[in-house]
This record gives sequence, C-alpha cells and structure tokens, in this order.
Amino acid sequence: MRSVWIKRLCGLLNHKKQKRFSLVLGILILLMILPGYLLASGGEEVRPSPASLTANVIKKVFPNGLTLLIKPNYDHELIAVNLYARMGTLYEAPDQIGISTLMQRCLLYGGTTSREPNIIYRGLENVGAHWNSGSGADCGNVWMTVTKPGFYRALDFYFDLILHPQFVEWDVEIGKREGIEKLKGINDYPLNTVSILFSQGFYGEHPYGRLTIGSEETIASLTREDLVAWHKKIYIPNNMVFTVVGNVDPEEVITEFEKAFGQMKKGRLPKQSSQSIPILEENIVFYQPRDVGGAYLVLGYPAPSYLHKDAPVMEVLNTILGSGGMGNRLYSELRDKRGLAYAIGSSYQQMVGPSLITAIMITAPENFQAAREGIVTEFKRFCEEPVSAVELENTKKWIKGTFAMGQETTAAQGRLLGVYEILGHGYDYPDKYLSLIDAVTPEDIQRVAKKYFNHYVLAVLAPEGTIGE
Amino acid sequence: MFGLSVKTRPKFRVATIFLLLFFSVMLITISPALGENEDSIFTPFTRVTLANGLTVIVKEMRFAPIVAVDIRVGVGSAYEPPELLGISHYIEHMFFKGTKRRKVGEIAREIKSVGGYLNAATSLDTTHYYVVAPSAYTDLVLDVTADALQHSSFDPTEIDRERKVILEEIRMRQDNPNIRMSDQIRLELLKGTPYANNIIGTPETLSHIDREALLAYYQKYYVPNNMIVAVVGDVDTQIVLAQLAELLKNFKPGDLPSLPVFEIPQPTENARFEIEDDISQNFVCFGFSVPTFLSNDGPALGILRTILNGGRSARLGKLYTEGLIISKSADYSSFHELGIFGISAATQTPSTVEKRIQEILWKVIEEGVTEEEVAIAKAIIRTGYAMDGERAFSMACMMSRYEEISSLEDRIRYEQALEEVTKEDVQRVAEKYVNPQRATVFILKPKEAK
Repeated sequence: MRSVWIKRLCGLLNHKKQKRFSLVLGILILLMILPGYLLASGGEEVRPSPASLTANVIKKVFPNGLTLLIKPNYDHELIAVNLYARMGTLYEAPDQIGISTLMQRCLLYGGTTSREPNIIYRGLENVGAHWNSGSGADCGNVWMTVTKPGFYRALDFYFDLILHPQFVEWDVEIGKREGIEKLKGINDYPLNTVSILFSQGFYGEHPYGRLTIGSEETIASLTREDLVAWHKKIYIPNNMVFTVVGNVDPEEVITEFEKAFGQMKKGRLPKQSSQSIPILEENIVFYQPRDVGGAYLVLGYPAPSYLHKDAPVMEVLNTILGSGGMGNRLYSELRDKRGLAYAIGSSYQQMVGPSLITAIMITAPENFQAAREGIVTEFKRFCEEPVSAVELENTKKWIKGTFAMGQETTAAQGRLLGVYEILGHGYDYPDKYLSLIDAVTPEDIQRVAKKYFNHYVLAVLAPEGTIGE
Repeated sequence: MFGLSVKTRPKFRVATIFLLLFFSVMLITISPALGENEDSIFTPFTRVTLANGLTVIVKEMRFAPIVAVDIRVGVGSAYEPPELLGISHYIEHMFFKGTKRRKVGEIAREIKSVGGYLNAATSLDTTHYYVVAPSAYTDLVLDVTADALQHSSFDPTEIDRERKVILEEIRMRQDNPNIRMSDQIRLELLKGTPYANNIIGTPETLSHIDREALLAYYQKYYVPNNMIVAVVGDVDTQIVLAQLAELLKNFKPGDLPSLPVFEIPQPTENARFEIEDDISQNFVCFGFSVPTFLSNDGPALGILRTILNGGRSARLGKLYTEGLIISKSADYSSFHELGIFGISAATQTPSTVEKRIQEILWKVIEEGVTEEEVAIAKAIIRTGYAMDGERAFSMACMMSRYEEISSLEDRIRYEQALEEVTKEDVQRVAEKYVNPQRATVFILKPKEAK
C-alpha cells in the first residue's frame, strides 16, 4: 500500500524522476504525515487527508498543453475516461450554431480513417464499454466507462475516435437530419417551449439564447468540411483536458497518453463570442398563448458568472430559494403552504459568460398572478431581510453534503475534475469551493441579491387570456 | 460517526447499542447467510425479519460516506378499487408531509439541513420512499424514516392542500406527450387487469377521497409485514439493525393484503392501433407481454433486449445508419406477475420503421444471433451492474424492489443465469415472446390539423 501512495505522490511532483526519488521522498512524506495519521486511523493504512477531495489527483501537463488528470481509485473495477474541450455555442459563429453538437455526434458514429463504424462500436462494446459524447454551451466531452480488464483495448478505440474521426458524408447527413427532426419535437413539451422563450428573451442575440443543437437553418447549412475544420480547431492539445478515474496504474496511463497525443501540435484556442446581452431596465414579460392545461412560468434575474467571486454566494442563495428538492423556500411557501403548484424550483445557471438564476413553476392558469407574485416576493425577500443564521448554516451543510454525495461514482469524479479544469477553476477547486461556501455571510447574500435582483424577465406559456392585459 | 450532535434524534450510547443488539436478536429472524456469489454487486448483504414482519436489508458500501434508505410498501394503483383510483399516490404525497413530532415541511428541512434529499414514487404495484444523506447522519435518517412510517399525521388542511397539488400534477402530466402515450399503451396492453389502473387518479376520484378513506387505506396497506426497508451505504449493519428494531418496536403488523385476482393477458394476434395526438413527430411502439424479469426466461429476454438496443452495435442501431429514426428505445419492465417488453422509435417515416422493426425481429427469430452479440450483451450488462453498484441510492432501490417481487437470492441467481444464456436461448425467447405476430403495435401520429 505504501509504495502505491509513494508512486502517486511522485507522479504529482515529477513523474519522470519518480523512481530515483521515490525512496527518499517516500520516507520524508511518511515522516511528515505518519504520526498524525496514525492517531486518526489506528494505523491501518496511509491515505490522503479525508479533508482533501483532490489530494491524490495526479496532474500531468504535456509540453503541447494537453492536460491529463488521473485519480486512482481502487474501490471498484471501473475506469472512467473523460475528455473535456472548450466548444459549444459560446465559441460558434452565428451562422454555425449547433456545429459542436453535430461534430460530437458524428465523431462517434462515422468511423475513423482506419476503421469502419461497426469495427469501432464492436471494439468498444466487446469489452463492455459504455460511451458517448455531447456538447453544451461552454464545453463538450467524450466519455467512456469500462471495467479494468478491457481498459487498454477500449482506450485504443477511444483515442482513435478523438484523433481520427472520418466524418463520412452519409453519416453527417444523417446527423443533420436527426438534429432537424429533434428540433421539430422540442415544442411538444411545454416546459421546453417556455424555457426557450425565456432564454431568447433574456439573452437576445447572445449565443446562449440559441439552442445548443442549432436551428433548422444553421444545421442545414453545415457540411462535412465544416465539421473537419471545426474538429481541427477544437481538438488541439492545449484545448483538451482528459480525466482518468478508477482502477489504473497512473504511470501506464501517462505512457499511453504520451504515445497517442505527444506528437500533436499546440494551436490557437477558440475565441468566445463578444456579443453582449440586453440590459434590463424594467421587468419584461414574454407570453406565448397555447392550449395547455397548466400555466408554465420561468422567471429569472441576472446572476454572477461561473468564475465570478460572488458565484458561491449566489449558489447559497439559490439553494435557500429553490434548489435541492423539498424543503426550500419556494417549495415550502408556494407548494407546501399554499398548494399552488406540483412542480416548482429554482436553478442557478453558472455559465462562463452571462449567467442567470431562474424560478420555474407549473401552476393552474387561474393561479398565475398569485404564482408570479409569490415567486417575486421570494426573490425580493433576500434583498429586504438577511437570512437567518440557522437557515444559512443548514444550507451550507446541505451544499457540502450534496457536493460530497455528488462524487459517489467514478464517472462523476471524472466529470467534476474535468469541468473545473477546462472552465478555469482548476481541478483542485473542490477544496477551495467548500471553504468559499463556508465563508458566505447573511450580509453577502443580501448584498448580492440587491445587486442582481432589480428587473426580471418572465416567460409564460399558458392558455389564451391567462395573464390578462 | 453516529452524528450525536444532531439534537432531535435519539442518542445511542455504546451500552445502549449492545443492549439493543441483545434484544434485537430475540426480535428478529436472521435469514440464511448470503454471499456465495462473489461477483454479484448485491453480496454480501444482511437481511432480517423483525418480529412484526418488517423485512430489513442492510448492505455495507464503505467507499463513500453516504447512506441511502429505501422504504418499499407493497401497494400501488393495481390494488385500488375504481372509486379510490389515485389513493396510493395521494398517500405517497402525504407521507413526508408531517408527523406528530414533526410539523409540515419539517421532515424535508431536517434532511436537507444535513445535506440529504428525500422523495417518493408510486407505481402500479409498489410505492417507495427514499432518503439519501451523508452517512454521519444515519441515525437521523432512520429516525425520520421510522417516524414517517408510523406517525404520519394526515392533517385535514394538508389533505385538502395536497389534493390541489395533485390536480396540478394531473394537468402537468396531460401536457406531456410522453406520459400521455405511455399511459395509452399500458392501458391497451394490460386491459382487463388491475395494472391498467391510472396511477394518479382522476379529478372525480380525488374529490371523493377524504381523510377517512386515506387513513383506512393507509392502515390496511402500511403494515410492517407489507414493507421492506433497505439501508445501503457507509453503515454498520448491526447498529442499523438494532436502531431499526428499537424505532419500530411498536409498529403493529396487520393482515397481508393481496392483489385482486386477475388473468394475465394473452398476447393478441397483430393488434394494431393508430392514435393521433398533439405531437410533431411520429412514434412507432411495439409492446409484448412477457414473463417477469426473475422468471426462467427473464435472463434470455434481458440479453435479447441488449442485443436489440444495448449499444451502438446493437441491431436497432441500424435504423440510425439507415437514416430512419431520430431516437429509439427498448425496455423490459417487470411487475409482480407480468412483464412488458417494449420497443419504440421516433421517426418521420412510421410505416417504413414499423416494417424494419418487424424485419429485425424476424431475422433474430429465423437466423438467430451470433456468439459475439451474446458476449457483447453480457459485457455491456456487466459494466452497467458495476456502475449501478457504485451508487448507494440505486442499490437500495433495487434491493428493496427485488426482494419485494421475489427475493434477492433470485436476483443474484438472475445474474448467474445471465452468464449462462446461449444464442439458442435468445432465439427461443424471441420466437416465443418478442415475435411480431404477438405484438401490439401503436403508431402515434401528429393530428392532421397540426
């Protein structure tokens, strides 16, 4: 056990010289940590401090900028591999919105320059791999989860997909058709429609106001050549963060990545859209009448972006307001006490660019005004009165507990490391994050609420006549 | 580790624990030792039956500081008489509302205050309630669970308020085409059985369900001998058993309710329905009546499902490469006495897709499947199990459910039987059950006007 940990720690410090220094370093580290640890553990085995969520993560940045994060975890047979890269609507040209989503889909399904699609599928699935890809507004990923015996076989196919996708014409056309057909079905679901209505109203011309899948026009205009060019632009080593979590030998993993990606050349990182969002000078309501049974409301205010110092404050506020299921203010006041809704909650959408916090509610059309007033009252309460010490403490406990529970699975641990690293916080943010949450005060919440909760955007999908004049 | 800092829950000192352990041994019947199948994600586990008939399953999963408790009650819409349609679901809504000790909203606040979450779901023949929290608060979770189980208050004002909430839920469900469609399909496939009952009820039945009816139904079905509690996570089995034995010692058993007697529907020959709805896409759905998951043919049906739809190499994947579909699924759902095998696809060319799905099924029946396909299906399923086995919540839900519909031993045998499934087995069950001649086909189309 000891030698495993020494290897991991050496990997963190200096992988190439690890063998030479392992003995000396190992003794030094053990001397430093052993007495305290023995007290805590009864001397069973050496483990990193439980206070740190990322202490055993090995970070390797290759000379070409590719980042590899390895988190060994020997509790399971599983290994989760995840690639994150900056892509998505934030980086797309207005006439190419949806290109990342289409590229990610076709990357998996069109085969590679040396393998037919079916060879890839069977290669991965012969060893039981579960695999997929996707793209959001700020980044995209390609993931694979597999058990240890098939790991290296699957990794060969996984690397091939990422490095040499063929983007065959016929599959690109199928992908485009799929995208366009999916768009047609989106509005069959009232919650989709009202969310789109809200995003378009809130973001205006900013790419966040567009669907990540694109529009019928943009999808139709995309070509195989566009995908090849976009792949070349996005899949550059300095735009890629890989995470490998699970039952692996870090040294072997680093060697495999070096072989596969070591020769790639650095490139210029994709540029974010510079489009601004509309300035809210008054409350704005977007109403779409439709013959539905309920009234669907999305009401939102601007909020701090992902990397903003006030983001942890808004996260605490959002938890008190309406996230986390039963027990929050919206749920207690509007559902539990007043029976106004079956579904109600809030969401803080932390984006790299302009961000927002929304409350979402489905209510009876005749309750629309009461629901709207109830939601606004709950937002404004944060401006008018500080949250109580008990509520704040309980919320912090909830966030910390949820955060810890969110890392239960191998795949989830990989996702967390990858997202933090690619979006700029750094993979070790989880440790800082918890202390930032701890530091939030009632005054911080009131200050942030006053700063952001001035004018709202409200989107409503409801039967004709629901909202009056 | 016991979370003794939480004031509202009973405190357990070491001496108390030993005392409780002593008494619990007298109160409970310990099941035969388990754990023979080292490869199963479910083993080892401990199962005991308390003196009042309540089954408790505990599985220690020490790799994450989490505890999940799933309470499974053997009741659902299939048990309801026509005038009380929706009552099982109504009770589910009242369950975490409040108890004699905890006011409205307090249960949720207490769990949330330690970083946990809780929720519930009602199905056709089961209702379950779950709480997931950091394992440092295991005793709080058990206390809340036991309190809700025995002392839900059914406050009259809350009953009226919750009725309004359920009416909102009905409205919301009717606005969702997926729910509308699956309800229609289920109604047709299971016509004449209690499984065709509408889970949520109707505005009419809900208006008649009062406190008296709720209490009577609750007292009839929410008896310990009709319940299973699964506790999974970073817990100590003996301590959990002792705590539950103490917390539930006054919970009195009742008569064990049973499902109304019904005949399992026989598949009809080429039943076909075309339904128009407010949708923009066409859906092609094939439904087959099949035996339950844990029956002898269950494992081969599980492999067949994966061969048809388990990965990109699966047979239905061809519909993508032919550019015929937008999405697809193949599911195998199992209840107490029957199962449903469903295949569906979203498409703009429903008649072509219907024909292609039939061709794909006929090919399996006539030519069989390959050894490689069976091996791939097993490998995919194995990885899926390993992924399930990482989550305390999934494990708790699965363990309580399998114990309810049969037994955990049967579920473990199912895993072993999966490994033994041959390509001949797959061909045989395809011909016997997933046969286009025995399919009930639904074509869901956009309304003409749209």
